[in-house]
This record gives sequence, C-alpha cells and structure tokens, in this order.
Amino acid sequence: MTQLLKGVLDLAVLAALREEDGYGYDILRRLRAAGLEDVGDASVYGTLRRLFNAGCLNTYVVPSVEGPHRKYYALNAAGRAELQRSGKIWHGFASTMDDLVGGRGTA
Amino acid sequence: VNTAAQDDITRYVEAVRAALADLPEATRDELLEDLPEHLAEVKADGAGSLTERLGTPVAYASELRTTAGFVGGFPDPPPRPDRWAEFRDPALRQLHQLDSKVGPLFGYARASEFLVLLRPAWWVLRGYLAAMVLLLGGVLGSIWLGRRSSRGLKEWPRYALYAGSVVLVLVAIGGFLNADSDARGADYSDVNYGGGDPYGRVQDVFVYDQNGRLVPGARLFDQDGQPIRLGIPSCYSDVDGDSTDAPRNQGYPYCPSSAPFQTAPNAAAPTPSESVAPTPTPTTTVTPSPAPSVRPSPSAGPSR
Repeated sequence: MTQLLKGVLDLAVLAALREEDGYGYDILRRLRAAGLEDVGDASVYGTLRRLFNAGCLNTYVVPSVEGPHRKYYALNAAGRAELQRSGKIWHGFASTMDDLVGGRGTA
Repeated sequence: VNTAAQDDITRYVEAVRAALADLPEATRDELLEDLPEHLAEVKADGAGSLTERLGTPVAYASELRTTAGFVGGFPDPPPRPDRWAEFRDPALRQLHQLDSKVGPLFGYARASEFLVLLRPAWWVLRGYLAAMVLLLGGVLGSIWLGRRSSRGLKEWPRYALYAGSVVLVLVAIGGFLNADSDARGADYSDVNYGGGDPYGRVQDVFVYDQNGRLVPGARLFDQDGQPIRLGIPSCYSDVDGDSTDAPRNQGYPYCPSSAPFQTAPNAAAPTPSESVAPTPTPTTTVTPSPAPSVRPSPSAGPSR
C-alpha cells in the first residue's frame, strides 16, 4: 500500500459506502473494482473499525445462508458530513496537484 | 465453511492477536472482534490459505495497526511496575544460586540443608536474646516502680515490694561472693606473654651432674636429634654492666658465672687440669630452693 493511498483511505472507504451499505470484504472488492488494486485487506478492515469508532458509521448484522453472519456498515449523518468535507478537500487538493504536475500526458 | 478453513481462520486470527500483544487487551479484543467473520468472506471468495492470500499475520497486524490506530480512545496506561517484586525476584534468584553453590562446601547439596541442622543452636540463641530483652524490660520496670513507689503505695503492696527487694538483694550478695572468689582465685599465669610455653621465660640452662657439679658446654637434644634451643645466647654481666654474645655452639650455660647453685670449690670449676673428686662430698650445697637467687659468684667459673 502506497503512502498516497494511505492518506486517502478514509475518503475512499466513505465514498464506497455512499451508494450502498456493505460488509468488509464487499467494500474491499468495490475499492479494487474501482481501480485501487493495491489496497490491503487489513487496511480496509482497520479503516472500517476506526471510522466506526469515530462515529461515522453504523453497523447492522445480516444473517447469511451460506456462511457466518455479515456485519454491514452504513454511512450515518456524521459519516455523510465527513464524506462531503473530505471530498471538498480532495477536489481542491487534486486540482492543485493537476495544475502543479501539468496537463495529462505532458509530465 | 469447512473445518479446515475454519482452522486456518482461527490460526490466522490468533497469530494476528499475538502480533498485537503490546496493545491493551480491551483495545485488541475490540479491534479483532469481527476479524473471523471478515476472514471467512475472504476465504469463501477464492482458493488458497489466508497467508497466501493476505500475506503473513505479522504483516497483516502491522497494516491493521497503522490504519485502525488505537481504537477505543487512549490506550490503557501500562501496569504500574511492582517495585518490590523487581527488587525481590533477582534477590531470591541470587540467594537460590548461592544456596546451591555454598552447599557443597559443607558436603550438602544446598546450604539450607546444613543450616537446618543448626536450628537447635538458633533456638538457644533466640532464648538468650529473649532473656536480654526481658532484662531490659526488668530494668525499665524497676526504674518505673522506683519512681512510682516514692509517691506512696498502699500498705500491703509496699511490703510485697520490700520483701521482693530483700530477696533480690540476698541473691545478689550470693552472686557477688561467688564472683569475688572466682576473681581472687583466678590463675593469671595463662595470660603471661608466651602463652602456654612454660620455657618462654628461660634465659639460660644450667646442667648439673649427679654430684652437683655444673656441667660446662652441655648440649641438649630432643628424641629426634634436634638441638633444643632455649634462652638467649648472650651473657649479661652484673659486674661491669656489659653484655657479651655467647656462640650457639658453645653449649649451655651461656653464662656459667650466673649459675644458680654454688658448688664446692673443688667441684665447681672442673678444669681439665683438676682431677674429679673421687667421692661426692655430702656437704655439697646443692639445695634446690623454690626461689633460687640468681647471683653471680666470683668463685665459680672463669673470671674475666
């Protein structure tokens, strides 16, 4: 996991839960499907635990037919506010970096 | 989820838990509470052991640590170190080592086995020490009683006190008499310089033959043929206050002029030219006295 990814992992996990609730491994698959292939399983699990403890997430348990029950994570109001705040910071930061680094393919 | 997969999960979780052993237990339990279920999803999604899929448990724990932080607030303060145990445990260990090391010197596996044998001596010493404490208590009690009785007691306690005092004084007089006679009868000879050697104060040796004549140049030997060396090979003359060294090989006496017993003139100085008296004269003045006076005799021995 790169240092860059580590810094935005909170935002990535919050964003993965924006449209739909999910359990740990489900969220990992979403992040990888979105292109963050380097993200580690432990990083997602640890980040979910921390966001939950910070009060950004709610959890509920869904029994599963084929295996153990699944703990689903859902954004709560604080989580959505955090996603919005962090998203704004990210957009500002990303455009600054785009300007700094230059147009695509010209670097 | 089959049993083998469950075992793999359990093993992995325990390994991660061990790698996080430095975290407070509550924090660690909270952090890992959902991990078995989470890993079950990982396991169900593909083939291969968890270590092949996720890396080593140690690496997993390290990643968890950096992303999860210390969940559940501040970590518990580390347990206060037990200072007494810190001091006691190494001391006990050292004592144990010393016990096994010193033991063989007495012919025992452990010194403590030998010390157990000495316990009766300790019991005696303990009784003695207890008696000393009682003695101090008695002295203090007596002083207290003395100060108190001056303020006046009722009649019969006062008589009891007097009677006890009289008994104690009688016992004390008996003890003092014993101690006094012991002191008078003490033998001081054993405190003399030279310890137990009765020949320590011998300065010269005079050998007399059966006729009471002084034997000059006598030599003394013990049963092994070793020469017996007594006295000081030096002669101090009362006449001129001078001292001359007598050679060791001259034999005894060093100072013939200091002979304690005077013999008859014909027998006193057996010079080679003089013939030995054929019959011992009964008048020979060999009279051993308990306190011989050492007095130089001008008639005996060669005069200088």
